[in-house]
Amino acid sequence: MTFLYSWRQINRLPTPLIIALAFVISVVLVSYVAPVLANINPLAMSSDIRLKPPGHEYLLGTDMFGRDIFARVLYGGQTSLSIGLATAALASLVGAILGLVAGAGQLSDKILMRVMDGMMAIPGILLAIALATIFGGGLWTVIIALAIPEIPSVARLVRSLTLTLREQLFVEAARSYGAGPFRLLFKYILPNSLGPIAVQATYICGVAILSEAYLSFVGVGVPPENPSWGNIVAEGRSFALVAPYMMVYPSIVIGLVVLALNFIGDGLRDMLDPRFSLDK
Amino acid sequence: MIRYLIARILSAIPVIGVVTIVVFGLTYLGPGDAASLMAGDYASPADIAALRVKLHLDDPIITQYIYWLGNVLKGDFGHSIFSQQPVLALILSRVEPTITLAIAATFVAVVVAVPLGLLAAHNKGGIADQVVSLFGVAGTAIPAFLIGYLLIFAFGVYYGSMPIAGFAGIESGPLEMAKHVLLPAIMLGFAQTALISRITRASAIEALNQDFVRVARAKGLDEITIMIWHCLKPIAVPVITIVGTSFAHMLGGVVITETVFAIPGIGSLLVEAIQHKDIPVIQGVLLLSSLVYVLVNLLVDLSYLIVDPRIKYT
Repeated sequence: MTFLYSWRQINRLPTPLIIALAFVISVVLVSYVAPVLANINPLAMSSDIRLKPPGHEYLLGTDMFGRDIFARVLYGGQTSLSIGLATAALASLVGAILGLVAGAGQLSDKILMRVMDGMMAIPGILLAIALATIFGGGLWTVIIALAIPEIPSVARLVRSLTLTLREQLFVEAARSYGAGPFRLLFKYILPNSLGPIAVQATYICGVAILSEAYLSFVGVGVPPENPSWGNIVAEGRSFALVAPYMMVYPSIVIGLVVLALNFIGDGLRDMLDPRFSLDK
Repeated sequence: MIRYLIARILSAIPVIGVVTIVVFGLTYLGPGDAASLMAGDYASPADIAALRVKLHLDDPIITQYIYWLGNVLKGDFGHSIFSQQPVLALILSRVEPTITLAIAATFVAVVVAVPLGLLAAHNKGGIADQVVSLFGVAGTAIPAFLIGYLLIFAFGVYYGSMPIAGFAGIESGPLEMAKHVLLPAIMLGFAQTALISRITRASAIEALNQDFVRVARAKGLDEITIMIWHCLKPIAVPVITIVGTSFAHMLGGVVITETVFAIPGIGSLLVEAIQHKDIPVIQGVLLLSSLVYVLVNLLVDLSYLIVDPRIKYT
């Protein structure tokens, strides 16, 4: 992650990456800052403004309780983005540790990778739905339920990086002057794996935001008193015909943010290792 | 060859073993005791006590797992908490729409994505390429339900030409079935289409740079013939691989698709099971989906032998 030193280097980034970065940063800012400044309430209900279509007064309309959907989408951004970030961080952390341990020893490698193969055979969203159902609703249970199916992909990545890196000269040098396995893994191998892990984490963040919406859609997501992009859509399901805007706007926001995250992931990957680029 | 086949089939066993452990372990992750979780919210203490004995919950956890696995191998996945029916029978009664949908979605995805990918590769750097490439990234980012409701609005409500809910089996005629399956298949296959078009494009660009394509061009073959005869074969392996791996994605996607289009398949069964916290049904769906996924990937691996004769296993 040694590539953002100067303005000149930022200028040299590919255009889609810059646009995507700018978009995600502005969505984060708007979600966290605007609600404070604009004094809008995502929970205020009012029976005389139920299901108002988008217009001057309510930019994105109001829902079945007369709540301002624009305000809900802004506050929902805080929830959805936090879920994406926390899921990516949790899956990367656990996956990286498992990958390092697997790459370090033969027995641990055999056992851990078998377990990871097995977990990868369970369709991710189904596992997340099952976990969220069993844990019960809540922000943290959703994050854990979304992170667990993503762990194997990180573990596999870090394992393969560890296997390559541990044969490198600088690791051998460190070993020769007596660095123990713990020090080798965390001081030498892990820092050199951070780039690819960051790429993977970017994709996981996008998948998590999307999956959060799917969990809400089937009724095991974040409880509705805590608005998220997913549960705004889920609440709009019953009003799909009379108030389609309730579903459409949050869906578009989800799509754009996930798209931007995918672009960031692709851009980072191409910069780190152009050989793996799909867009030559 | 035979040895490879046997080794490949045997290698699926530890994977399935881990799946069963994860699925079995689900009951122990929840708050409270496994018996009260499995018995449901309305069970009396006597019911729970009876279930404790039936599930061998007073034995060590490994013994419990072995009992459970033994039952699963005999086809006994337990009983639904809600409907009291055997889980396997319940799942099998809902399998037809889901399988039809999954096959149709894969078919739609391949039929749309491969020509798109070839077009983009042929037009590399041009407008068509940029559109297909953008679709390749955006297709996996758009929430599936948005696609579903847009299709419903466009073809069901606005034009009124397509049924927008339910399922019609083969017994109601192939045309009626196709009408009911087409829109959900597009929704379910949308992300797949994007993924496959992306892989097709990347592999086709590589293939078009090969010497045999230059020879084909030099001897005056037109681009369409080159695409079909010289390009499809070398890209078959990566394309089949992505179809196989994205199948897992689709097994999850049916949950959303079947909810949007009110199709009575495995996905809706799972959603009903979630609402009742019907753990045995959730376990059954998870287990069978994983088995299907393992099987599909086994077939994908074996298909390499047919598709690419250079691949030899000893």
